[in-house]
Amino acid sequence: MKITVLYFGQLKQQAGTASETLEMDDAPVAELYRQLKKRHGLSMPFENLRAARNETFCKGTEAIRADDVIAFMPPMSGG
Amino acid sequence: MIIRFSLSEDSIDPVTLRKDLPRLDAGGYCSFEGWARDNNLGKTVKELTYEAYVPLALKQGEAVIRETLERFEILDASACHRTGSLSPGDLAVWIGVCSAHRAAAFEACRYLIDRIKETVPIWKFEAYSDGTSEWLDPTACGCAKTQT
Repeated sequence: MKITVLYFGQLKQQAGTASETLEMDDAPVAELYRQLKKRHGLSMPFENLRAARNETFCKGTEAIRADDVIAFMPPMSGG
Repeated sequence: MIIRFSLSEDSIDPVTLRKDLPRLDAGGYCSFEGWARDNNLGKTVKELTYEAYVPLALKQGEAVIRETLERFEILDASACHRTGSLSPGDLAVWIGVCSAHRAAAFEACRYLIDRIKETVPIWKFEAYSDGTSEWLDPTACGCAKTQT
């Protein structure tokens, strides 16, 4: 299935892109991140991030569906 | 729906933002302004950039304001956060809270800025005078809880 992944902050810098469209098999959000961490050499463990599925915060155990937009976000640093 | 949280790519004008807060049943108003500082951890900051995950930041910003309205005896609250490129001295975030009595406004203002910093998906990139630059991670230096 096809999905879109968004990266922010230092994850965007490390991945070398703000977004990418991927073909993937069924997997929860944390498993997707583990695969992308390896592929892009991302330094942050999933436990340190926030993830969102279709513009709503989600847990690592959440299932991904076709056409989902999954965002991986480092710790917030606004303010 | 009343919009209480906003993002701005342009300079924030507190006078414009506060104009909706005064009301006859309010006895006071408390505001917090976060400013772009010219130094961080011993380095001179030349320029800052705030990046937001806009749709989620707007949604989460509204959620933390609703949470603040439910948690404190306040009458209204509003907040605006900058995105894009800022220079030291620029206003980075503005918060306004009105209430019948002052204590609740002070407490809610503090609570709201803390919640925005912790949970609204906005990230700060700093460029320094020595030519280096970095995305800030408040959890990396162990200072997030002490630098308040």
